[in-house]
Amino acid sequence: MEELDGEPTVTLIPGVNSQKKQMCFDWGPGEMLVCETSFNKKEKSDMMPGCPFIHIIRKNEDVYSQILRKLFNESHGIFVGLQRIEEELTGKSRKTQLVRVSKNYRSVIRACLEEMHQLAIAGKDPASDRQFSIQVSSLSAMELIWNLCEILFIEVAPAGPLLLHLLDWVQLHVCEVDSLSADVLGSENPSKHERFWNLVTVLVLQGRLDEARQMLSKEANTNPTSAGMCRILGDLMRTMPVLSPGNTQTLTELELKWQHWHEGCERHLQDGTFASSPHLESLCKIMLGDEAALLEQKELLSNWYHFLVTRLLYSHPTVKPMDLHFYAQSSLDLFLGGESSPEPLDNILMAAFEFDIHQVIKECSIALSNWWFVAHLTDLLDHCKLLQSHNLYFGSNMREFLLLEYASGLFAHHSLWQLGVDYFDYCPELGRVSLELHIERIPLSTEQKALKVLRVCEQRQMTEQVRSICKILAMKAVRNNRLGSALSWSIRAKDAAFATLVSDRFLRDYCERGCFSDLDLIDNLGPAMMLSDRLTFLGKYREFHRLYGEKRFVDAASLLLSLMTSQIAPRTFWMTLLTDALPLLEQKQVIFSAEQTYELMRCLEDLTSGRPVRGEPDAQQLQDDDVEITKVEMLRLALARNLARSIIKEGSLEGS
Amino acid sequence: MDLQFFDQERIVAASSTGCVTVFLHHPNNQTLSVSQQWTTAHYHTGPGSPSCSSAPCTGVVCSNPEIVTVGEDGRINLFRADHKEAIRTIDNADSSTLHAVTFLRTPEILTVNSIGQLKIWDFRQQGNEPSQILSLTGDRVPLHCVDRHPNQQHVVATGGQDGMLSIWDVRQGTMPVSLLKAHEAEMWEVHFHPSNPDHLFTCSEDGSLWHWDASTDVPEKSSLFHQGGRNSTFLSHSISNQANVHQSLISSWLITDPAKDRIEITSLLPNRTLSVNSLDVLGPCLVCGTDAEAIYVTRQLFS
Repeated sequence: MEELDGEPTVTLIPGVNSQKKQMCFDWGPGEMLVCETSFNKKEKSDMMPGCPFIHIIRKNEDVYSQILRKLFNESHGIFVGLQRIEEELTGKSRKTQLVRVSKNYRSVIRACLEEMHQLAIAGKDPASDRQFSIQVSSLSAMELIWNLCEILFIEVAPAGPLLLHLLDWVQLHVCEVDSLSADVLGSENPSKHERFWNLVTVLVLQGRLDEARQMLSKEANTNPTSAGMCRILGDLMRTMPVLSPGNTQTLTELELKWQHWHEGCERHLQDGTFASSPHLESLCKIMLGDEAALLEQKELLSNWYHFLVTRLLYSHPTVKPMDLHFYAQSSLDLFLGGESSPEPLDNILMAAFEFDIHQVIKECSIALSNWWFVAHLTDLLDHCKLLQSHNLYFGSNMREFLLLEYASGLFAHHSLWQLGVDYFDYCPELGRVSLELHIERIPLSTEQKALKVLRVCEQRQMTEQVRSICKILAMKAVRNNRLGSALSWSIRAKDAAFATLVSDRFLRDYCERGCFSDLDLIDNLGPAMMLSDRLTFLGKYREFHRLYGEKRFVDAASLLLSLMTSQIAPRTFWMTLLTDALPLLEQKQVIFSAEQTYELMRCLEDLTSGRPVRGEPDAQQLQDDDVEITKVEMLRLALARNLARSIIKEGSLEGS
Repeated sequence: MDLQFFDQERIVAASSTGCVTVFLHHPNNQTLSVSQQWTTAHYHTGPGSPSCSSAPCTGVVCSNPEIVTVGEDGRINLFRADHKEAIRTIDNADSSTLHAVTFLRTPEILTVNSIGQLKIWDFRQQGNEPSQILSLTGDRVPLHCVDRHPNQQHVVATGGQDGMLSIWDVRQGTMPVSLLKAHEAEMWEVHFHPSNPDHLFTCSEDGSLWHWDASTDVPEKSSLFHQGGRNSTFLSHSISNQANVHQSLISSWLITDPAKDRIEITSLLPNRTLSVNSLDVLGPCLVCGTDAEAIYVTRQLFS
C-alpha cells in the first residue's frame, strides 16, 4: 500500500453523533451508504441509535453543475471522435491531427470558462458567485496546464519554435495586458497616462516588441527630449533576431545573430545612452535579460512562469526542451524568493517542465475535484504513445483506470450516463464488466429511458442484463395491472417463464369474472403466442370462444379437443374446458364424432381418477365435491348420449 | 416527454411525472410562466389510495381548445383549456403503454401503443371501446410515434421500435399501405411537413435524422448537391393488396407501384451523434435535439 499523498478530508454526516464513533458503511458503484450503529461491548445496547436515517454519500457534485455539463457533453464528442480516427492516424499527419484534437479540447474548456466567468460577474448572490469564481480559477488552471502539455508533449516543439510556443502560451494566459492597453490608449494623452510605462514594460516582458515600439514613438512625439533615445531603443527592438515560422535559417545562425545583437544592446547600456531616462534604461536591461531588472517587475510579471519565459526570451532564446527544467527550477526559486512555498499548480507545471508525465497526472488527480481533466489528458497522451504501460495494483493501466473512474462518476447522473457508456466501450480490459454492473442500476423512471438502456445492452450482446431489466419492468407492469405492457416486455426479453405468469394471470381473471379482460391484447397476439405454452393456450382458448360466438361449432369442437389432447392446457383448467364442451354436446345436431367423444371420455376419466386424495375434509370442500360430482355426472351423461347419437349417425347411410 | 404549441402564446408540456402543464410565453421579456396545470393526469394508482404512484404522460396533441393526452397508464384524457378537470377520461383504454396520439378529425383521435396497434377513438361515442383497431400481422413491434398527413385526414405515418416507417390509410382495411425499412433503432418521431406534405422527417435512436422526399413532379434531382451529405434513393415496397384504390384523391405516399415511384432520402445530420430524440419542422426551418444535449437548427431546409 502506498503512503498517502495528503491528509484525507473529514466529512461530518449531519444527524450522526460523531463522538460516539459508531458507524457502519458499505460501498456502492459510485456512492457509499452510512448509518449509525449501536454495537457496544461494555454497556447494554438498550438505547436506540441517535440517528435513524441511512445516508447516501456521493463525492462527485461537479456532475450536477449546469455549465460543466456542456464540458462533459462536448468533450465526449471529441473523445469518441479521437478513438474512431485512431486507425487512420499514421505518419506525419498524425501529429497535426493530435494537436488539432488537443486544441478542440482546449477550446471547449475556454468556452466553459467564458460562460462561467459571465455568471460569476453577473452578481446574483455572493455564495454562488464565490463558487463560480473558484470554478473559474480551476478551469483556467486546467487550460494552462493542458496548453503547456500540448506544447511539450504533443507538439514536441524543438529548440527555437519552442520559445515561440511558450511565448504564445504566456500571452494567452496573462490577459491583463489587453485591458491595460485599452485603458491607456483610450485616454487623451496616452504617454502622459500614469500607467503608460507599465504598459510598455509589460509589452516588452511579453516579447510584443512591435507594439512596444509604437508606444515609444508616441512618447517620442510628445516628449522631444527623449525622442532620440526612444528611436535608438526602438531600433534595438526592431532588429532583435527572432525565429519566424517561415524562416529557413538554422539554429546556429540565429544564435550568432542574436549574440551579435545582444552585444550591441550591452554596448548601449555601457555607454549610458539611456542614462537620463530610468524607464528606458530598465527597458534596456530587461532586453538584456538582466535578472535583477526582471525581478523588479515582479508585479507586472505576476507569476514565475512568465518570469521564466521572459528570461529565456532575452537570455537563451534557443533553449532546448531538455534544458527547460533547469531554468524552470531556478526561476521558481528566484521568483518566490523564499517568501512563499510553491502551490499545487506550480508543482504541476514544474513536473511538466521536467517531462515527468506521470507526476503531472498524479498531482492533477489530487488537486482537481473530478476526473475529467486527467482522464481526457491521459487518453490523449496515450494516443501519442507517451505512456508506457504503467501497471497499477488493480490490473489495468493508468489510462483505463482514469477513464473508468470518470465514467463511473457520470453514471451517478440521471442523464449523463449515456456518455459514460461510450467511455466504457473504449476500455478494453475492465470496460465491459464495469458497464454490466452499472447499467443494471440505472433507475428507470420512464419506458423511454428503459428502451434506451435496453438498446445499449442489446447492441453489446449483454443478454443477461436485458433479461434482468425486462423482468423488472414486466414485474412493475404486472403490479400496476398493465398486463399488455408486461407481455410486451416478456416478448422482448424472450422470457417464456414470465409470459406464462402473465397468461396465468389472464386465466385467473377469466375464472373469477367469467369473461376476458384486455381482449384487444389476447385477440391480437400473433406469432408472440409461440413464446410460451400457456400463452398459446390462452390465445387458442380465446379463439375457441370466438368460434363459438360465430356459431362455427364443428371448428370450435375440434379446437377444444385439440387443446386437451395436446397437453398444453393446464390440468387445473381441464374441468373448465370440459364444462365448456357441455353445450356443444347438448346441441341438436351431433358435433362431436365418436372418436372425439371417446377422447373426451378418456380425458374425463384421467381427470377424475388422477385427482389425489385430499387430507382434510372441509365443509367447503365437500360442497365443492358435491358440485364437482354433479358436474362429472352431467358430463358422463352428456358424453354417453353423444356417443350414442354419433355412433348411430356414423353408422347410417346419408340422405335418409 | 412531449411538447406542443396550443396557440400563438401557449405551449402544452407533458411530463414524466404524469403532470400536464400549459405554459404561457411572454415575448416582451422572453419568459415562460405556468398558466394551468393538471397534476394527476396520469397515474397507476390514484391519489386516494395509499400506494399512489404516477405514470409518465407520453404524448400530447392540441387542437384549440382541446388537449388530448395519453400515458403509460393506458389512459386517454381530454382536457379543455381553462377547465380544471378533464372533460373526458377513458380509463384503461389500452392494456399496454400508449406512446403517441394524433387527431384524425376533430372528434376522432388515433393512438399507437407498445403492442403495435393503432386505435381510433371517437369522442362522440360513449363507452370505452375504440371504434377501429389496425395492426400489422406478424411481429408485434411497439409503435412509438404517429403523425397525420396535413391535408388528407386518412393518411397516417407511424414509426416503430425496429425503425420501420409505415404509411397507413385508415379508411381501407387494417393493414398498412407501405412499410419502409428505415432506421437501425427506435424511431422516436415522425413529422409530415405542414405546408409541403410530400416531405416527411424522421428521427431515431441511432442518431440520424432523415428527410423523405416523395414529390414526384420533380425530375431526377442530382444527388450530389443535396444538403447534408449521405443520400440515397430508395424504392418503397408495398405490402398492400388492395386492388381498387381510388385514383383521384391519391397522395404520393399511397402510390403502390414500386417501379414508378421513388422516394429520395437524405440524412440531415452530418456526424454520427447520440440518439436524436425529437424534431419539429415549420416552413424552411427544422429543429432537432439529441441525447448529447445539443440542439440543431437549420433555416434553409429546401435550398
